[in-house]
Parts: sequence; structure tokens; C-alpha cells
Amino acid sequence: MFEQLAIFNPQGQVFYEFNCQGKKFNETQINAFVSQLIVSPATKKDSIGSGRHTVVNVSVPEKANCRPFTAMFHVSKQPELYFVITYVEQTIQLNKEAEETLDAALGLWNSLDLKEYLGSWDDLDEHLVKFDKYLRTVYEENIKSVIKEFSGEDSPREQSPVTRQNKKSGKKNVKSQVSQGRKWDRAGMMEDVGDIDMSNLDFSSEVNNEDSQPTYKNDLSIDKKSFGSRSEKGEFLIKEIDDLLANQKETSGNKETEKNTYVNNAFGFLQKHLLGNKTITENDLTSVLNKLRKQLISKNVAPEAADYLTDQVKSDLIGSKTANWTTLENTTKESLSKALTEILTPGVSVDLLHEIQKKIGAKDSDGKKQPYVFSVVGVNGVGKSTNLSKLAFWLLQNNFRVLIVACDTFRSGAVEQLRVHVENLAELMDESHVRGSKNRRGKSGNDYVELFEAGYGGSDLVTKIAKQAIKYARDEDFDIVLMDTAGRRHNDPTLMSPLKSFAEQAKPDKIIMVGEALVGTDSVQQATNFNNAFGRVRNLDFFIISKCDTVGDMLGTMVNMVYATSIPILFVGVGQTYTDLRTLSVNWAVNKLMS
Amino acid sequence: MDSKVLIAGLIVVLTTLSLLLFQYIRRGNANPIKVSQSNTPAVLLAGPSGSGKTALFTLITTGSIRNTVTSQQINIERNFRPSVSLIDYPGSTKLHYKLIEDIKNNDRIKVIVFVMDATTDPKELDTTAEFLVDILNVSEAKSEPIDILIACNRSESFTARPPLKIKEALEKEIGKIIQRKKKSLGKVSKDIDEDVEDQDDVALFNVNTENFKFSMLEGSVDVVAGSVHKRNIGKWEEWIENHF
Repeated sequence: MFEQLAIFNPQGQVFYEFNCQGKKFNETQINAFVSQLIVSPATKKDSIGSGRHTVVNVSVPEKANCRPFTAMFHVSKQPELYFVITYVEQTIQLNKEAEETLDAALGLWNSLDLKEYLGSWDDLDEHLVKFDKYLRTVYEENIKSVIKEFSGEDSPREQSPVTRQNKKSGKKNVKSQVSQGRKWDRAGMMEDVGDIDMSNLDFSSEVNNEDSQPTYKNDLSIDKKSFGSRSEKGEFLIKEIDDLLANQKETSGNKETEKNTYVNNAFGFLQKHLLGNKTITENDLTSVLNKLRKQLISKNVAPEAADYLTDQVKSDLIGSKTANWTTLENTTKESLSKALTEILTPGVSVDLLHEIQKKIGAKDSDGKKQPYVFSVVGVNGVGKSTNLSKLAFWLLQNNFRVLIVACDTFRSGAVEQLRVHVENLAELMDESHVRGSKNRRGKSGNDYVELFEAGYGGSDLVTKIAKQAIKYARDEDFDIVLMDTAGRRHNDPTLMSPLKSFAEQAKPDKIIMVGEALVGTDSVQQATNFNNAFGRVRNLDFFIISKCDTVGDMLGTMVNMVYATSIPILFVGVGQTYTDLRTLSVNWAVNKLMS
Repeated sequence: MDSKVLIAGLIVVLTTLSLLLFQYIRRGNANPIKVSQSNTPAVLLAGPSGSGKTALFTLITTGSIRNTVTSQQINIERNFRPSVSLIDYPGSTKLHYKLIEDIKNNDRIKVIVFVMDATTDPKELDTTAEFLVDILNVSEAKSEPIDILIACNRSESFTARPPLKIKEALEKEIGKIIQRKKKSLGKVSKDIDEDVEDQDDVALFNVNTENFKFSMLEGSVDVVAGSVHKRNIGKWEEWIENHF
């Protein structure tokens, strides 16, 4: 049984809601679904079965008091309406049920022409009563029983002897039912049963023809089984609904042809290029969009991200009208910058200083503060250590005490490289610092910044260092722990797998991935693989895009990485010195990409 | 001969014009793409997700209480008062840019109703305050400062804080945020070598942040409790009424 069905518009007004368990409408669920849609429009989607509807697994924010769930939805155009069904998890049975119900709801919605009444709540309410009655009937009489039978045949896949027996007997049952049905059928004909019975038979065959379901046999048997308990009224309703749906199919076919006869008048050209106020069709957009897509790709945007963006533009523009005195191209460009802005804008506000202050402000039972832990990951040579040092410099400016941890135990020279950075930073903080000297704890650095190192070794050493470092930072009253990790190729599972245990053991507050702006199309894969490397419960927290000063306006990498993971870009690296770290300005990036 | 050409030309021009005019009349009632760029004075409904903006919008415009879910697009009512439009913006962080852009570019915005949940724990007001800071940043930069009503929704709940407490908590939180923003890294500029001053972030930073008070702002800020659920929105409507 699915949980609830809701019909609402993108403005957030709910038109109809149907809770299977008869409970109150649960907004939290739908809200979680919508937020996920807003934040990560391109990810975590997969379609099943016929693929007419989209299915998403919705993860719920920790605070909300509801479980993760699955949503199947359909978005109708003009007016834009969301038909959403939520259910516990993806099983064959539930997917099937949701699909059927969604189809029924869509069919009924269209055939009752409910969109005509959206303007006024009173009218809508009046007509929704009918919609509600029909939908409930269809669900109770049709879908529920079909699904039951469907699952009855499907579930005994487990190979325990008991279920096997059940399966056998189940088969027998079906057989006997079918043969009974035939008898009844004949008997029915001979005894000349009333119209209602005939309509019942009609109905079953009609449904099967229309939907061309593979479950023909099941349908037949169910109809007979539930025959006795069915009310006359239910019968009548079903028939009526079916007629309604059949009519709808015909009329919608007619409408299509009507549309095609729309004549392009002589002003089509003028309107398109000069005057504006023109209804946009898919044909108009194709050439403009191809051009813009090429432009995006030339700016290093991956083809799949470019496709997504152009699709966004399409769904935004088709059917709408260009404003007065604007060309189609300008309108499209505007819509594209809107889509880019939307994709690059972070879905959550990230105020690092606030989060750090909050964490280190809370003392534990010993009166010690827990340090705030960052860890930096990325492919080889993207600038992990450099950006880590820039980050450290900024944090030092804000009067935090920083412990830099050398977790790169593979590459020779990695620790020495970090030591140079620590010496530099120490010198910047305190001019009297003597390079290469040890501080009073016998480590490199001074009171502001210090290096924690434990030599080179295997991957188990990494987690050991990380844990020791956090303990050390807590004992020595450091505010921040910055962990540098080894660079790794994102498509090598043996290199990526240690990341998961690292994240589980060290429990960094923020995992930062450094990606270089130079990389191009591969960035989609890099971001996806790194994001998945931490297991199901942990994700990356944000990106630093390095080397932005070297690519000019080819900032496509930013779009790719955010598109692939919907994780925000926090900082961009724009130069060689410690101060060359900036927060991302979405407008700036969009302007560069559109120029 | 010349006059014939002239007349022919004139006829062509006239027919074109009349046809064009006809086209405009025929399509004149279409919705332009940019809904928010209207020429009428506007009241904006803003605030964090789940605070009850769309519910308030529906109650004001239709007088009925409806179920609502997270909005993805703006709601607009053109004439909710004679030639005043009411616009309800989505609260999702990812869609804030629409609101900010509109405040920046539209000079007809008179007042903003910032709807918030009065039951929010004062310790968790930081995201709400941050959103308010973003709005104040642009609204204070305008030549005619915009007045803001902080509408504390859900006042019927027993966990709801009184408006005065909320005001104090917000002021405290905003002060902290401004200080933090001063310490944050700058935004990446138009061109890396060319230092262009970002106009977005200057407005609020001139304010003395040690003890931020709403009274320091040019636009007035009022905090009033109410409840959409209990239809207790008279004070808010009165406030809006007084500004026109």
C-alpha cells in the first residue's frame, strides 16, 4: 500500500491529497521531496518499468520526524502540476501499485478537465469531490486487488519448502478459479444474467485491452473472486470511469492534430527576431539551443550537464511568450543564465565561521573543547596542500589555533611540503619565528599553527594518525584540525576504498574536495566517485575549485561538479599566494560562462 | 509615377502597421515571462521555508486555509489591493536569488513581510537571521528604504516566543552575522586582476555592529505576532494597509 498521493502546483498550493491509511496529510514528506527536487534536480533519479514517471529516493533531513521514502512523480505541463505518490521503499509490487495509481489519477484529472477550475477554490472543491470518489473507487476496486494478486504470484520466490508448497497450491487455486470462471461464464450466458454482470465481464476485457497488461489472467480471476462482494454502485462507477477515460484518450488525440494545423503567419519571422510576444515552440528553440549548447561545451561544461541545462531552458520556455521587443535568442539566453544560477547557488547556507564557533564553543565534560576537523581530498596534483594552507591562513586570521595533519603517507615529500607551508604560516603569524625550529612541544611550527606528522606508511597508518591528531588537538587546545590526504585516482577502487574507513574513523566535520578548473569533462566522474567513496551516510560537504586564474572564462568544471553531486562550491582558488582564496560569486561565474 | 510608388509604399506600410496592431490586441492578454517585473507597487512575502508564506498568501487572496507544500515558484496576485500586487517568494535557500534580484532591480517594492516561525528556538535563529541579513543588504541600499514587517507566525502554539523576545534574538544574531561576514573571505571579483568593489555587501557593513538594533536601519522594522492557522492576521493586514 502506498502512503499518500498529492497533487500540487510549483507555487506550493496543494489541490488534492489522498492518504491511503486515512491519516492526516503529511506535509513533511512532500516538503522533503520538493526540497530534494530543488537542491539536486539532476541526481538520484532513476526511472523504472515503462519509464513514464520518475522515481526518486528521498532522504529526509535529520530533524524531521519521518523516515526516508520513495516518491514517484509526474509533472504535467500547462498548468505545471506535480502528481506525487510516496511509498516506503522500491519493491516491484509497490512500484507497480504507485504507477497504476498515478496513471489512474492522471487519467481522471484530465478527463474531468479539472485544470479548468484551478482559478477558483470553490469550483475546484466541488469537482474534486467527484475526482476523489472516482479515484478511491478505482483504487479500491481495481488497483488494490490487481496488486494483491500480482504480489501473490511474485512473492514466493524464496526457496523455502513451505513457500514452495504454497506456490503449488496457489497455482492450483488459480487454475481452478479459471476453470470455474469458464463454467460461470457459460452458465452466465445460459441463465442470462442481468446487465450488471455483463458489464462486469465487459469491463475486465476492456481494461485489459486498453492497458495491455501482462496480467490478463490475474485480472480475470480477480474479477470473479471479488464479484460477490462488489456493490452494484461500485460496478456502475467503474464503468462510468472507464468510459470517461476512453473518451479522454480520443479527445486528446484530436487536440494534437488541432495543434499541428496552427499556421505560421507572415509575421512569424519578424516576431521571432524583432518584435517579441511570440509563443515559443520546440522547433523555434532547437537551433538556438544547439548554439548555446556548443558554447557551453566550449567553456568546458560536460555534454551531460549541458544537456540538462538546455532541457531546463526548454521546459522553462516552451509554451511561454517572449516579452515585447525581445528576440527569441535573448529570451533563451536569459533563461539559460537563470538555469545556471539555480544550479550553482548552494542549497544550504554554509557559514563556516559560525559552525566552527558553535562547535568549539561547546565544552565537553572535562571542560575541553572539541576541535573542528576538516579533511581535504582530491585527485593527484589538483592543489590539495596548497588550498589547505590557504584555508589555514584564513582561519589563522580569524584567531583560531590550527593543527595541520599530514595524512598523506604515500607520496615521498608530502610531509616535507606541508612543513614548508607550516613554517611559512608560522612566520606570517609571528615574525620572530625561526624557520626549522621546534616549538615547546617539539613539533614544527609555533603557538598559532603546528604540524602533526607520523612519517610514511600504509593506509591503516592514515586512520591512526587522524585519530591521534584529533586527540592531540583536544589535549593541546587547538581549535581547528586540517587533514591533508593523499591524492588518488578517482576510478581506482583500491585507492578509493580507504576513504570510507577514514571518514568513519576520523569523523571530519567537513570533507572538502579540491577540484581543478582545468580538468574538463572528467570532473563529472571525479566528483561523483569521490562523493560516493564515503558510503551511503556520508557525502562531501563542499568543493574548492582551484586554479581558476588559469582558465579564463572556461569555468565549466564548476557546473559539472555541482551538477553531478549537487554539493556547493564554497571557495575558489585564484592565485599563488595564501590570500588568493575567494568565496564563489554565482553572478560572476554565470557571467563568465555566458560571455 | 513617383506618387504611385509613394502611395503603394504607404499602403504597404499602413497594412503592416494595422496587422501588427491587430496582432498585439489579439495577444495582449498573454502573461509576460517575467511576472515579477510589474509596474504596480508590490508587497513581498519572504521568509524561510516552512514559515507559512504560501498559506498566508492563500488566506489573504482567497480567504481560505489550505494545505501547502514547499514552493518552487513565486505566487503572484496582481490586485489584492487596488493596483497593489502581492508576491509570495519560495523560501528555499537555493531560490533566494530570485527575491534578492527583484528587490535590487524593482523600484516599486514598498514593503516586505518577512514571515517566520515564532516557535523557532532562539538558538537556532541563525539561518533565519542570515536570510534577513541578505534581504536587508539589498533593501537598505535602495534610495527609498523598504519597510519590513517581521510576521511571527504560529503564535497560537504554546512554544511560540513573544515578538519582543524574537526581535531581541534576531538583533543579537544579526550583529554576530555581520561581524562574521566582515571576517569572511571576499568574493571572487569580476576579473581576478581587476579589483571591482562588490556593491552587494556594503550596505549593512556601515552599521555599527557591536550592538545591532533594527532602529539603526533607515527602513522601519516592526515585529508583530499572528497566526495564519487561526486566521489571526488582522494586525499584519492593518500594517500593510497603513503603508499605502
